Amino acid sequence: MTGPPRITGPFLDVLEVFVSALGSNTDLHGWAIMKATKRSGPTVYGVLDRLEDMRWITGEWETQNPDPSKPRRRFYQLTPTGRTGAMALLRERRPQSLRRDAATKPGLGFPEWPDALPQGGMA
Amino acid sequence: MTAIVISVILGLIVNECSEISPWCARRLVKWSALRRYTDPRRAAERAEELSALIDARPGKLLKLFSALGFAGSAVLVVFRRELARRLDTMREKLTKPGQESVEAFSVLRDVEAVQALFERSPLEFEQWVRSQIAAPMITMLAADGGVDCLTLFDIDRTDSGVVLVSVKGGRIIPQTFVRDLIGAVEAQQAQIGILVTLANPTKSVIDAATHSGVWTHPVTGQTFPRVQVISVADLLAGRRPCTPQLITPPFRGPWGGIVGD
Repeated sequence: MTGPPRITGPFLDVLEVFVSALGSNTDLHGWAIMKATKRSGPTVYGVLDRLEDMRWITGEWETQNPDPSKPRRRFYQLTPTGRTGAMALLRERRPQSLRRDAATKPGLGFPEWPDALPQGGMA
Repeated sequence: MTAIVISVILGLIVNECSEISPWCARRLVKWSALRRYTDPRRAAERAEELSALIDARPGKLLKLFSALGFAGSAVLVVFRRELARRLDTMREKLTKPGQESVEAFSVLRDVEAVQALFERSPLEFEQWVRSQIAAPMITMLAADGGVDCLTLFDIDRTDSGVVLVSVKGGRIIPQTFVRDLIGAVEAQQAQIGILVTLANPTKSVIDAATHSGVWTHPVTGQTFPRVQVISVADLLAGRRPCTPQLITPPFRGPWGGIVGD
C-alpha cells in the first residue's frame, strides 16, 4: 500500500458485493467477485489487496476444491471493522444499494436509511 | 490437395495452441503474482489463488487473455515501483546533508504557515490535518454532508465505531458547519463528529457543538463529546480530538510514515 485508501467506483462495487453477501451464506472468491462487479481481475484484486491491508476483509482457503483436479480457492468475508466501515461508506456514497439490500434481505440488521442526506460544502 | 494438408496442419496447430493455453495462463498468473507483490507471503497466496481463478474462468483462450491482463497489470506495478525507487535515489542524492529530516509539512509550526498551505492547496491542507490526527482515514471524494473523511475505532471485539471528520479552511466558521456535521453524524449513525477549522471558532460555534451532547462508550462507560470543534491553533499546540483509541491498520499515512507500525 503506497498511500491512504481512496474511494473509487471499483472499491465501492466490491464493498457492495461483500455487503450483499452478508447473511446469505454466499462464499465469495475472486472469480465470484469479478462476475458480480463486472470488473477485470487486476482491478478486483487491487481492491482486495487494499481491503486486506485495511483489515476490512479476511481470506480463508477452502480445504479442497469440489473438483479435486482443480486448485483450492480462497474465500473472503468482511471483518467486524470492515462491516462497520463498509456500511458507513455505502450509506454515504451509495445509499440506494443498502436500501435495496434492506428490502430484499430483512432481518440482516440493515438500519433504516434516511431519504435525504444533509448537504454541505468542502473545505 | 495442398490446401487440405495446410488446413489440417493449421487445425492441429490451433487445437494444440488452445490446449496449452490454460497451462500458459496458469504459469503467467503465477509469474504475475510473484512479480507484483513484494510481500512473499502474499505473493505465494495470490499465485495459488489466481491459478484457481484461471481454472474457474470458462474458455481456454479466455483463460489466456485473463492471464495476460494480470501480467500486464503486474508489469505496470513493477515499472511504477522501479520508477519510484529510482526517483527516491535521485532525491536522496540531491538532498544536502542535514536536510533529510525536513519534510514539507514538518516546518508548519504556526497558523500563518498552515493558512498559506490552505491558500496554495486545500487538498494538501486537508492532508496535513489528517497527519496531525495521525489516524488512517477514508477519503470521501464527494463531500456529502460536509464530511471529508472517516475513521474507525473498536467498540468491542465484534463492533466498531465511526468518527466523521469535516475539515474547513475558510476564515469564517458559521454555525451551519456544526449543524451539518451533527446532521451527518445522525444520518450516518456515526458515534462522533470532528470539525477541524483553520479559523478559530466563535463561542456560538463551540456552544452549538457542546449542545450536540455526548456519546457514551457502551463497554467502558467513558463519555465523548458527540461533535467536537478543534482549530488548527489547537492542533499546533498539541491538542487532539477526544476519541477512543482509533484503529490504525498498517498502511502508509500521508506525510506521516507508516501509520500503525
